[in-house]
Amino acid sequence: MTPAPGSSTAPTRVALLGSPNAGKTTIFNHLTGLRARTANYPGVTVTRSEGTAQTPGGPVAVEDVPGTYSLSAMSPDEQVVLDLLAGDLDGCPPPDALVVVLDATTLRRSLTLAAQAIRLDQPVIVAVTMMDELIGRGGQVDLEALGRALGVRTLGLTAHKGVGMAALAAQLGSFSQWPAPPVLPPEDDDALAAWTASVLTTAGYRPPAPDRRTAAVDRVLLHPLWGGLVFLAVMFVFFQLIFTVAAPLQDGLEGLLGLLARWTATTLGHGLVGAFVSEAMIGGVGSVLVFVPQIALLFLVIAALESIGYMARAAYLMDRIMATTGLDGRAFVSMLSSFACAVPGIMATRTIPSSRTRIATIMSAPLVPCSARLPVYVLLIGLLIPPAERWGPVQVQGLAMFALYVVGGVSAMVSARILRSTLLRGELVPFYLEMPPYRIPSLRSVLLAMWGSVAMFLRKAGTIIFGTAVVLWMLLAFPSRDAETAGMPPAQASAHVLEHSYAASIGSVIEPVFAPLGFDWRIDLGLVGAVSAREVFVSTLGQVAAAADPENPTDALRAATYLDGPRQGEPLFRAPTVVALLAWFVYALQCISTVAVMRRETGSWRWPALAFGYLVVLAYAAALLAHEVTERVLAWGAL
Amino acid sequence: MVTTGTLAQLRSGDRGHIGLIDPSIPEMLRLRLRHLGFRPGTVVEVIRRAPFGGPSVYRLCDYDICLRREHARHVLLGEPA
Repeated sequence: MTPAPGSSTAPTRVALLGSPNAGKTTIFNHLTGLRARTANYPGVTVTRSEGTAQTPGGPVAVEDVPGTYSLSAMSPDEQVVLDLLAGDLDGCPPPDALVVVLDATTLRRSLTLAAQAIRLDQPVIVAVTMMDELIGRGGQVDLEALGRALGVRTLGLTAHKGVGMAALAAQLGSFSQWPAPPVLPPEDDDALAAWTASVLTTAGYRPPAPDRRTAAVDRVLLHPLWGGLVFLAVMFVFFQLIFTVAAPLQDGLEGLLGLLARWTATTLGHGLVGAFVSEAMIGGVGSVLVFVPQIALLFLVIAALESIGYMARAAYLMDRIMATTGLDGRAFVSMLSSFACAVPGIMATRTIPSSRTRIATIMSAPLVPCSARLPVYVLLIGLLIPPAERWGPVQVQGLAMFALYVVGGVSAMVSARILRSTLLRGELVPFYLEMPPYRIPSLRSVLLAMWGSVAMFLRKAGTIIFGTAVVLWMLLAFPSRDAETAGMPPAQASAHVLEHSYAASIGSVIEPVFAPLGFDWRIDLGLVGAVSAREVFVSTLGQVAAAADPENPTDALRAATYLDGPRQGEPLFRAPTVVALLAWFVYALQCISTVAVMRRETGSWRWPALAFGYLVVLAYAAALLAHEVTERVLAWGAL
Repeated sequence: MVTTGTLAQLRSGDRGHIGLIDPSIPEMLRLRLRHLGFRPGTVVEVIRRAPFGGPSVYRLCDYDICLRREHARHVLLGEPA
């Protein structure tokens, strides 16, 4: 067959259009075999993503786009949809055909978008999702009659179970044969209510009864008092779990690494290669990887809450408090995402219509305690509080972690409040949020969402963290002092090299700046390295400790002392130093990925530069205060 | 069924018909409220009112949505269409 003149050989492009939370991404994942993140709250997808569906008519490029209630955009994520349809997105030709995804349980509202899409004068089919839920809640719809009333082909799906997906894939391959509607829906928005009513009558639509289970659960979870208490209790139990469930797994991983270190020492010896493997790789990257259990647990909880439908409730509960900070509940959802990582949290602000509110949220997001802080906190809390310490049933380590999260969260809100009443004043935003029914997610989708985040962490460990660890290792291991260390036992030799390394020279220049906080040059080096990613701090200390005692780095850290200066010989990780470090990590913006995404989302270096500056100043002040207060408390306790 | 006042004045469990969206608010917001289902003649039920001026949850067009009071104030109630 000869292609018609003007046609290209590029594959057919089909875009999935629909309201937020209609299930577009679930369909997208099924069609393309990809694993984009899904959840049960409006606004999970904030950017377009593309995949290829294999159809009987050949491969078809499928575009997943953010959800939109109508084709008039208010927020940046909705603008993406309009730009895509108009062909204004760089490197992305406009779609050849549209699949309008409608949630069967909210047809009365969703038909507005369907009407606007059908009027676009492009091949359109309608996919009605969540058919199982419509029928399960006593509703019904005659899809064939609905298709006749709309004038376009209409399919029913239960996407999460894969029902109807083969039929949809078959349609995608033959979009040129889709019938055009004989009569277009009315253009006038005022006439749409009447049009919708007549379409639904023709289709014999019976709406679903309100979900009784959701109503019952909401009576507790949305209660002004109980709802807040349940939220705090869930958080509290979660942090206890981090130490009781994940810590034994971490010990197991540490044991494995110890074996690996011993094996390396015997096979590779104490030469340069052996030192690189045991210090930079096992001591550096390995010391970060042992925190995978804690991070996976955090991501699992977040993925479960998102998929069940809790996020919209959290936003509702928090809207009143967020209003006092000049933000809204939607900003809170973005802050909740920042608990996993500030990067998706900042991207989630695209659902916020007002640019001032959006920037204030972006500027505060780095304060929200993210998963990268988790390894740092676990390590430092471990140096501060013995694991067996309990107050009744409460594990004190978990309590300390809970407190750090509360301080970080409150600081984020205070920062937003200050920004909204100074630099980013004014511009009130409309806040509305759909409250989806609670849905029991499939284990697979929750595990996939968790795995996506864990994989992101592993990628970071393999790139940014590994790269920085290698640079720091070179600074710590060179210049080599072969002549001087000949004849010394290995531990003493590595200590000698460390104390006379390039890193030590650099560190001694910075040391006076951080000396009031109780930090020595090794800690300073960790902080400088952690500008690339917070976990690098753990890997730097891991390297320093591995140089001293590769098989038991934790004990080496505990036993570390000041190497020089007035406090030479005193223990390094005394309570005031550790508390000051914790305070530093609550505030400092130490993550190049966050800086880069701030630059991209705000369109200038001004905001990331300001954020970096104000957070470093805040971090220093908080660490100094923490150091002094802890010192006083210790002195008072000793009386 | 309440036929006068605004959405913000309804109490939990009350129902009303939407009459008009305040023409003095920005066109963009008015349009968005309509596209969310707040169209003249639509029946709205108040599911939950948050205390201390927090947002309320409304049911309309077979789904639940929360709206701040400052916006609910601009949705006027009226007689059935």
